[in-house]
Amino acid sequence: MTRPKILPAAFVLLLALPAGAQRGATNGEWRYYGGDAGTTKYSPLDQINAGNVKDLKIVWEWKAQNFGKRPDFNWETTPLEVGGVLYVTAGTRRDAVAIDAATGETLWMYRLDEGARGLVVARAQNRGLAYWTDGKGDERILMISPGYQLVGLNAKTGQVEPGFGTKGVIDLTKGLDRAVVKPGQIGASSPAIVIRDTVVVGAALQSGNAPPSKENVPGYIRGFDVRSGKLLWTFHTVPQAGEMGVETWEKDSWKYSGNTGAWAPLSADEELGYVYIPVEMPTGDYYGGTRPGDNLFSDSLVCLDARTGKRIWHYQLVHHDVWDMDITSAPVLTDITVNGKKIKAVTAVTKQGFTYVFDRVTGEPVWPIVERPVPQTDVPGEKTAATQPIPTKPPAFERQGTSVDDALDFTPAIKAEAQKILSQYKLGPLFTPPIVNDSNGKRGTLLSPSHVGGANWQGGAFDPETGMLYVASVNNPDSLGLIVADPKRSDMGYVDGRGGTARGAAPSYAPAEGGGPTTVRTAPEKNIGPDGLPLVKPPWGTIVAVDLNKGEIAWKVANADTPEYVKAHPLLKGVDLGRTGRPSRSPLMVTKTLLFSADGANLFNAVAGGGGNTFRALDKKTGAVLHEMQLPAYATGIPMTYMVDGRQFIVVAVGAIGVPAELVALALP
Amino acid sequence: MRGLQIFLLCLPVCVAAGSRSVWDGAYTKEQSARGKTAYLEVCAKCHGETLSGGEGAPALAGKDFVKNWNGRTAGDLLELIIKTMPTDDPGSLSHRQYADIEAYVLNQNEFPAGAKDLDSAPDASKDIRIEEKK
Repeated sequence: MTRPKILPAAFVLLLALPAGAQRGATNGEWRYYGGDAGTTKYSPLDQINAGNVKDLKIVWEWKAQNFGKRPDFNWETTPLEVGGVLYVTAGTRRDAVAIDAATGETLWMYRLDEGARGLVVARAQNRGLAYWTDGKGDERILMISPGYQLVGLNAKTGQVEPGFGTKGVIDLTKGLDRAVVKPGQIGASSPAIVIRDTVVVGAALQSGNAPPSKENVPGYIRGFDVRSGKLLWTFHTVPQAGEMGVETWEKDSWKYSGNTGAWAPLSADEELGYVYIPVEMPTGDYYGGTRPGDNLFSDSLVCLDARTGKRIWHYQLVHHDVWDMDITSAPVLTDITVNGKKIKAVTAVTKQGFTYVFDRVTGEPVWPIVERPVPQTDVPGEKTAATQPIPTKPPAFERQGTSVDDALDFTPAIKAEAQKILSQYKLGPLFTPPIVNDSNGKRGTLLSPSHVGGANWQGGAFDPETGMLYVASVNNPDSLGLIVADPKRSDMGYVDGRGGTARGAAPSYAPAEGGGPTTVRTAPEKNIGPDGLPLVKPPWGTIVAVDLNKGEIAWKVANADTPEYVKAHPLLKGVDLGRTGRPSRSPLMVTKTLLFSADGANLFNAVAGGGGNTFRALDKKTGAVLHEMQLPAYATGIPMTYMVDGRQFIVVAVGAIGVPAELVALALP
Repeated sequence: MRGLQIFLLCLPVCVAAGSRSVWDGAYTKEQSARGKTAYLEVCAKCHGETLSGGEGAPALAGKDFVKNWNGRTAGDLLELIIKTMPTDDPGSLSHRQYADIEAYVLNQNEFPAGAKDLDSAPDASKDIRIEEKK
């Protein structure tokens, strides 16, 4: 096994930083999913720089194709790197694998055959592993299996730690206050995080668009001792009798409501001993008549003491969610200086396009967050919250709300058609609630950002030296409309009706095929604009730099080139389209020298035109593209970087429709 | 001319006699059970455990689904599934598995089972109409 050798320049930098300051991923390693426990996705490595990035080449590839019964194509993983070894989950089986970080050679693999339990899963996506060491030779890898079991492995051998749980395994479906938890009801798509010898575990559940029942398993947050696997605490994301917030679940709806997990990655502050939990929405994505009230701690950023599970503070970002506005990404720990005052902050970027910034010690907003009146529902049995919290700073990084002025306007005819389509929907500001499909002459409520717009699990990347937060966002309005639930399939009352009838009509032209499976996805099912085009003006995908010291947006650029199917559209011959960006979030990673980005993937919940094979290095100060290169497929995971034997590597997971997942390692010759 | 009139009058009756609908039993119970296993493993993650739809994936059971497919055939549906599903690797299951999954979808829409499996070749069931009502 090779050991990392730190470049002298990087070493000097590490020594020069004050103790306790944020440094991102230290020691040329990448020990956490997001680089460091604060999920900055920052590394101070600088061997790859603006001058030589053009020389980057693929130095090895590692194929995940045969891990699992079926290949994985949408590998949202980011490997860890510790001491010259990469640790990653692989394939649909979610095997844990150790790989030589310099050569790509497989060192060990661990496979847990869960039988039927592992076949039907709440979420197929997986983002990786957690690492822990006592610093004295005990090194462990923590994996959450598809069937929601926590496994403790010896990092050197890949063997289970027999003293952890029961023969290395803990059944996470136990202790959730439900008599029966069916396979596939609950799982995890993101890794655990280890903080102060405690493994903290979140939860992901099946999509709640049209849930079979208002009753579901709650996604409690739990802490386990990393050595023994002993359960230390459980935080009830749906409060139970006598607990704070239970009154926000009226009509005893806390007794049966579920979800409210934390499916995005978690973050932690080792110094404070706090863990930061991005909690998702409760059961019923678009109808909350079965759970009247604000529904704490849904859609809340929750700060817990990692050793006791005691709530330190929380802030609810959306009251009584009926838009699927989960907190979708790991909170980013951001040490900033605002008006001369140093603040240990925590930042959440969200689907609705806001950047919420809090003092991470106290939970106080760094800039005021104001409760403002919002439009109210007319869906029978529903009661929406009178106000929603709106940050005064920084400005939204995504276009919010819908109006006919947003219409795609490449040509007068296209604009007229787009406005005609827009007029078929209920339009309005952010937090306009869903309507019943085809009611009052409207198909549904057009929402922007939609439940798959704005930021998502790719989250932000933060440069602690400059206070700049980089965010990838998507502008893709989507329609929300409800239908009466078929009582044979659901007791919800109302469920997702996919935004009205006659939606998703096929375009008149045949989208270009050929060019292999990694070309832009052709199925324009979700584009409801003129002739299969997007409904609204570009940019459809952006990278935004938010200056967190000032609370301002420093720059905003299109994330990618204009989608091929738009360029080739017969209605757009000879029209100057500019650089529109693509409706897929660019995975971002930042180093001392560069911001790295890619077209992103389009394998889950993406619309036509998303994804592409291009990997990019951007100027951190301007967003200008300094270098582009082609990967073998779409970047499906967030890139990471590390140094082994004096060489800086960048590794990213890729895959595409029909192209099984693999890791790609880039380095200078 | 008269001969042609007789022919045209006879045509609908003749066609009806030679075609089938999903109400005539287009799959078997055993096939639907096999399809359920495959559905839960491959399809449920997007379309939902009860076929009620999910993020970015429409419902595969219920009034809207049947209305949407009314007038098309079991073979058309099979062809579409084979060509486009699962979205990350279209065509990756065996045609028999696809037919089994469609059998489960028909079952969940409360179309009756019959004595013969839904054929794994789409062309073989292009005469089996999907109809909202018997």
